[in-house]
Order: sequence, then C-alpha cells, then structure tokens
Amino acid sequence: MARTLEEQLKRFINTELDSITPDMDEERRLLEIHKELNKRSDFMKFRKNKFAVALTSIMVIMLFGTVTAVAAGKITGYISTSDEKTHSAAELRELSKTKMQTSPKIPDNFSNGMTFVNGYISEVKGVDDDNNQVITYSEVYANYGGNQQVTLTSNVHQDMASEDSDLPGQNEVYQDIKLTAKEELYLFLPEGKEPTEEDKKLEEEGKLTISYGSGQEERKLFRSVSWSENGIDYLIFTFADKELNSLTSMAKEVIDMK
Amino acid sequence: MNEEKKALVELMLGGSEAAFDELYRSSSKKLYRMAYFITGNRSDSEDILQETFVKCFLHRDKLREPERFESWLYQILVRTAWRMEKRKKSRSELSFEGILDQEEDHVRADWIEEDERGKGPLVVILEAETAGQIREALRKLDVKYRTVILLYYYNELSTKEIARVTGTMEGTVKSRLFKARKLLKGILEAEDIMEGEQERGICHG
Repeated sequence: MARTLEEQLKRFINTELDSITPDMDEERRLLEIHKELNKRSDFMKFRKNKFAVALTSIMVIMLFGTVTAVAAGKITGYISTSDEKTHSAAELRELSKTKMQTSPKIPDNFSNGMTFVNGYISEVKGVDDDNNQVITYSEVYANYGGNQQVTLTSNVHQDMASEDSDLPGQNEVYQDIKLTAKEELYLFLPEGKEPTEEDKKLEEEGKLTISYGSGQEERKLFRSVSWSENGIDYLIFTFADKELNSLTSMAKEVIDMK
Repeated sequence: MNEEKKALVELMLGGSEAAFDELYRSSSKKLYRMAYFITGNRSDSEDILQETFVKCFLHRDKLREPERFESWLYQILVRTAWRMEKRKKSRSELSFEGILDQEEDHVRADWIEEDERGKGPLVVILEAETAGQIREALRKLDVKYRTVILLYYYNELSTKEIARVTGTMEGTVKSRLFKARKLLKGILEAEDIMEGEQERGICHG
C-alpha cells in the first residue's frame, strides 16, 4: 500500500468534501443573496449619498413592497439584479432592444431642461412564498436631472405582475392613452424600528406605505405617472419637489416621442 | 485564472450583477465545502457562503487585481467563518455537529466501494478505519489549523498564499501545517499503513 501522507490527506479531504452539497438550491440561495444585497445597499448608499437612499428605497418598495398589489396572488416578492449603468440614452435604447426584444421610449432630454444622466437594465424575478421563481422580465431604468430627480421605468407588460393599487389616482387620457397620476406618502424606517400607532393606522387606511431598511426615519412624498403603450408599461416617478402636472407633462413628451 | 473568468470578474468589479451571478454559480459549491470543512456545520456553512458573496459584491471596490479574485474570495470566507466560530465559542456552542459523524456511514461506504475494484477486503477496511482516524484528528484540530490544512490540500495554495488569505505570517502557516501533519502522520504510522512520505516544500522542525 504505497501511499504517502500527502496523497492520503488530499484524497481523504477531496472525497469527504465532494460528497457534500448545500441543502438550499443554488438559485434560491442566489435570490437570498440578492435580497440581502438590496437591503444592505441602502445602508451603503446612504452613507455615500443621502439622496440616493430615497431612490434606492423606492426600488426596494417597488420590488419587495408590492405584495398586496400583485394581481395573481402568487408572487410575494421581487428580486432585481442590475447591469452596469450606462451614461448614454442611445446606448440604453440599444440595450433595451437587445434584452427586451422591443424598444421602449427613452428620451435624451425633456423640454423642462431635465437631461438623461444614467440608466440600466434590471432583471426582475418574481418569487413566491418559497422563493420559487414565478416570472422573470427585464425593466429599464432611466434617470434624469441632477441628483437623479426623475426616473422613468419601462417593461414589457406582465399580467402576473400587474399592480392593482387601491390608491385613488388622477386619470387623464392623452393620445388615446390613459395616464394615471398618483401621490403616495412613504415612511422609511431603520430596520427594527416600530412605527407609531398613528402611522400604523394611516397604513391600514391606505394613506401611508411603511418601508424598512433606511438609515434613518424619513417621510417622503412619492409622485408618479403611469401608462401603457404598445404592450409596454411605463412609470415616471420622483421624490423631489416636483408637481404632478410637471411629471404628467414629461409623460406626454415620452408618448409624443417617435 | 482563465480569460473568461477574468472577464467576468472585471465585469463584476464594474457593477454587473449578471457577472456576479455567474461567478457565484461557478464557485458556490466549492466555497460551501470549504466552509463546511472549517465549521463542520451545514447551517453555518450556508450562512457563511451567503455572507461571503454579499461581502464580495458590496466590497468589490477593494479588489484591485482581478487575477486575485479567488484568493480574495477565500479570504472573505475564511474570516467570516473564523468570526462565526469565535462567536460560537464565546457562547460555548459546539461546532462540528458531526460533519463527519453524520456523513460517516455513507462516506465510508463510498470509500469502500471506490476501492473495492483494485484491493482486497482487508486493505479496504483498514483504509476506511484510517479515514475515520483522520476525520477524528481533523475534528480535534483548532479551527485555524483546520483552515491551513484545507487551503493547502484542498485548494492547493502555497504557504505564501495561505498566509495572505489567513492574514498571518508565512512562518505561522508553516508551523501550523507542520503540527497538523505531525498529528495526522502519527495516527497513520500508528496504523502502520504508511510506507513513505513526500514533501511539498514545507518547513519541518
């Protein structure tokens, strides 16, 4: 039995370890990692840029907080993974064409002076209670103005992921397209902080959305305009001090874009 | 590191989560096994694996040379595992819930089955017994010694690379490796089944 200690040890360790595999499925673990990354990115970005937390937080709300707004009732959470940011609207349009097999409208700038700052494509996965992937689709994010004041998102319409919010909105028809404008109040709380009874009551009444994972307690008004055109769902939103009619005008410019 | 992997690492460093996902898929099993070898606990190993990749993406700006990605990842994993072991120790929890105990029967069975083709039954049984002895000896080793054994024999890192991963002096690595090997050698010699030993540039003494 000519076997050296080196060989025996190497063989022993490899044999032992090769028989071991994680209990959790590889893809499900990856979803958990992205959930954790989404959560912790808030804190990381908050330290670097205070304003960024608002936009990041709204991403988290949009991706994780729509539990009650999901029509199909199966999807209980969303995980997103994003590509590297591009600083060219033309490049983002090209990327969208490749990844989404369609061409959402992404303007270079708006007549109010807001110009394209950066954008990226996010791969969104809708998961059920057991973290099983139910749907997956690409969503385009385009940020405009200094400090990314306004964000335009677009994705191919997904029946399963359609939101059915009870919040009243102002509806308007433009070029045969229905625009819905909304104002929603969000309360961002640090992880583990309990909302007050008053805030809980407002949440129950649908007047407030509470989101956890922020670095500090903040109240922000989220204004948005949404519409669908040619099978693509659009949403333009801001946390900045911008009136709804200003957002609606920007939405109309997107619709007018050829 | 091949060019394809290097390109993925570069993309990940630029913020591509798609590249990060691919890197995770290509190395998660190995890293889980490493965590398991260090802690001997499945649940802890899942946590360590997750934490390693979360830290990898969040702190990617700290990796300056893409070529060093693997050893950097090992570094995160080892330190995460050590921190977890330290916390458990302070709470007087026992690690090694029995890596090796719970797996013992089937690993031993595999070992025997694999060797059956070329050897007689007595030799196979002796080797299975030896596997049990090695397992027992490894279990008794301090976590830092076990880590050095892992990185040297499983990851095939040099003592210099191990020093970098574990954040210790190369001399300390050599000393730990020597002591661990001495212990294991003793077991094997006691079993009288070792005929020779070759070295791979390790310090003796």
